[in-house]
Amino acid sequence: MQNHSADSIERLVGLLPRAMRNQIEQWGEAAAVLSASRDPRVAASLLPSGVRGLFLKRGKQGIPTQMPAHHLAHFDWRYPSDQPEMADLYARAKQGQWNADDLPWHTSVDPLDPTVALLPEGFLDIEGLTAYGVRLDQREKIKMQASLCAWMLSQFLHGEQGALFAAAQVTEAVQFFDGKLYGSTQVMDEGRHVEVFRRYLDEKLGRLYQINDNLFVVIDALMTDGRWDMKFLGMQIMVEGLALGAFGVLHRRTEEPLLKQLLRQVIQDEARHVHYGVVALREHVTHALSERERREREDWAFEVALLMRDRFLAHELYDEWFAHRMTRAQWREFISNSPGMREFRHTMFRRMVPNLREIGLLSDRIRPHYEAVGLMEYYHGAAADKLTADELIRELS
Amino acid sequence: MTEGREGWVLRWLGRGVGATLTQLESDAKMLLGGVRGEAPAPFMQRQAPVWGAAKAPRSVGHEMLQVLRVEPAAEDAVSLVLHDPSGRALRWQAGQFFTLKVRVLGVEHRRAYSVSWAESAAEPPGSVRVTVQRVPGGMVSERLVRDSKAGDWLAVEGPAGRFVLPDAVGEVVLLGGGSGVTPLVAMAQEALGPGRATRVVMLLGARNHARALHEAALQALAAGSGGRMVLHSLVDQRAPGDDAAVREGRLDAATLGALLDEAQVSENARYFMCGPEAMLGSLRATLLARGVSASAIEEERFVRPSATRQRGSAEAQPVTLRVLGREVTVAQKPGQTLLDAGLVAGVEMPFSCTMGGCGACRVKLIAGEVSQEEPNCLRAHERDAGMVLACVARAEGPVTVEVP
Repeated sequence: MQNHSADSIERLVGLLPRAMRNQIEQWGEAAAVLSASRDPRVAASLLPSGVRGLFLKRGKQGIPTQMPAHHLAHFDWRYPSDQPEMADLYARAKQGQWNADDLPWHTSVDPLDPTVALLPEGFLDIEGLTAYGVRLDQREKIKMQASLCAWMLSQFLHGEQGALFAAAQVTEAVQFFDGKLYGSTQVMDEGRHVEVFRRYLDEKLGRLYQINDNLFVVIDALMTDGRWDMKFLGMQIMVEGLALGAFGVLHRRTEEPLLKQLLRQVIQDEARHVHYGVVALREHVTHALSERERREREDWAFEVALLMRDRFLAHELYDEWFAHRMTRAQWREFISNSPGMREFRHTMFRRMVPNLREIGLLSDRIRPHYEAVGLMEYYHGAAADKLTADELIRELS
Repeated sequence: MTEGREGWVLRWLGRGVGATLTQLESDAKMLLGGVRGEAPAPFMQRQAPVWGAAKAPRSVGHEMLQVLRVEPAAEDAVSLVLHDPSGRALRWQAGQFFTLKVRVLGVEHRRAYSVSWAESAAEPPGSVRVTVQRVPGGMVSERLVRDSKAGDWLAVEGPAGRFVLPDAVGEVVLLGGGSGVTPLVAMAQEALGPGRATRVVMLLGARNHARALHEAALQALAAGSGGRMVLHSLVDQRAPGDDAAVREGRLDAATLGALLDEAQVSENARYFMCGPEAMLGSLRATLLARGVSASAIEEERFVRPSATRQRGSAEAQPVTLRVLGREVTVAQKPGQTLLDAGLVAGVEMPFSCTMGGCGACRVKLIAGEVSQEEPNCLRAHERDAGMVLACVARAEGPVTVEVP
């Protein structure tokens, strides 16, 4: 029945002009994202953010977005020092500071130079586009790869802006004093990441893609949630996990030396951030949350993981390149099966799943769901608190 | 607050998150645009050059060319024949150069290479030949000579250069040494080519016969010129296996005088010289001493980018650019050149080699003080007229320049 009505809707939509058809497909996709969630509580908590991001496209309106915050600033006039692992991270973070001006910015970058490819040939299966009746010539191919790279870096930049503000909020809200000190270094780190990605896009690639609607939803949900541990879980585990996956793939694949070095520096910072996320949340989930609260976070993490896996699909690139040549559904199929995206998902979950296990959000109750979507293969990996930055880099290259 | 019904609905949808009226209007615009099938722009253009477009409309072209074949040109030297695989014919004037952008260990180096054949002699037509001789310790020449192969892509800018044959000229004397021979080969072919009746006297110097570039081709050109071309190649030192025709000697004052006399060079001849700095200086002195007017002598120097880049002022400096009767003031950030500052701000400034070697970016200094990297290709009369090269000049304080 459902299939039947979907068919007839599709037929009707097919009669509309292409641009409008595209828009309707987009809304359908958004509705599917919002209704996909199994858990009504999770769905309800994501709904307002979903409306703002997917329907109103607030990230793409070309004006600043105001996001209200509802968290409490947690002061402690006794300055307790009871979290040695966080104190140690703080000490290491101070040592690990670097100056973005020291990167080799004089390197000239030609996005269209195939001898120093931003992304290697084969990152996207461009020949596979012929199956959809789209053929690109050599120059378009190179341009397309460069566009994808600029798109990825633009999303990193938007993500880092979110991380900068979330790190500041979490630093206010967290109850561990050693965590606050550490958090201050993370704020600096995120500021530096915004600096380097913006500078690279401005000076080297010359274009900034708009924020992906689904990334906007995740950031909006974190910023407007009053519970600090939700911000934390979202930012330190999920978004940073996504970032580590994406940075890692790009670091491994790009031939552009400045970008490679820039990412290497950023990844070393990110390794500390995820480590902190694991330490702080493990403490919080095991000691401070009730079972009901823990379950809610567990479900939320699962839904967000799926959102990231299935929806982070470079639609801005589709709008630029293929909106008049193929349907959104075809694009989704093409991009999610491309070798680069597969590698990205693999890297992301290899980091994220063990971290969720370590902080206690992968109980027997949720595991069958992870099993069902094929993510349990990552269960036994090492969590961030067991990985040094060096190991992480080694693993990435 | 007067929001209207639309605003109320939006506010409800937004779950009362305290959105401002501006936000609601913007939300409404986005939704209405969506209904009409309009999508927001996928990206914004930032300050770096637009991909695939020429960097500035008045600058010379910038593109990727492919190596069609690699030919030996002499000991330690190769000729690279470059073409545009889309089939478009490349155009240049004999004597001009292209700037090759070559990446070695991740750093891009720019080197100017003269085209070593004339358009009329290009094989296939529309392709460019550059000849690269290995320079001891030269990273770029080493890389190009050793690693170039058919199918390679090279980022290229050009053509550029003011060292070109005049349209109507009765006689030209081409003087060169070492890799300075390359533009002269193109000029000789051009001078002897269709539609011209120019007489060519070509006097070349090389360290030894094996290193003399395009030697056989030049001999053949002279032999087939029906007496219009006189060629003398001298080598510093003969090698044991050399053919009897190889002459030992240097293009010093005495030899040059004797050879010019022997060739019976006319008074109206124009002189084109290209080679190492020291050689050019002594040739020039000899010619002037023989009564050749300075305006009849053109030289092409191969300027290597200076190893130590001056940093210029440590603070941002206002640079006022007069372009086409308009004045634009841009900020030169620390480390930037006048050219960088102008291009970043979107001002159309001509340029080509960006290393002080071609003169394409000359601007006239009206007020203020700049520091320039030396050596560069500015000629004495240009310096006297207050010209500076925007690509190697940095403002030391507030500066006003005129872009021609």
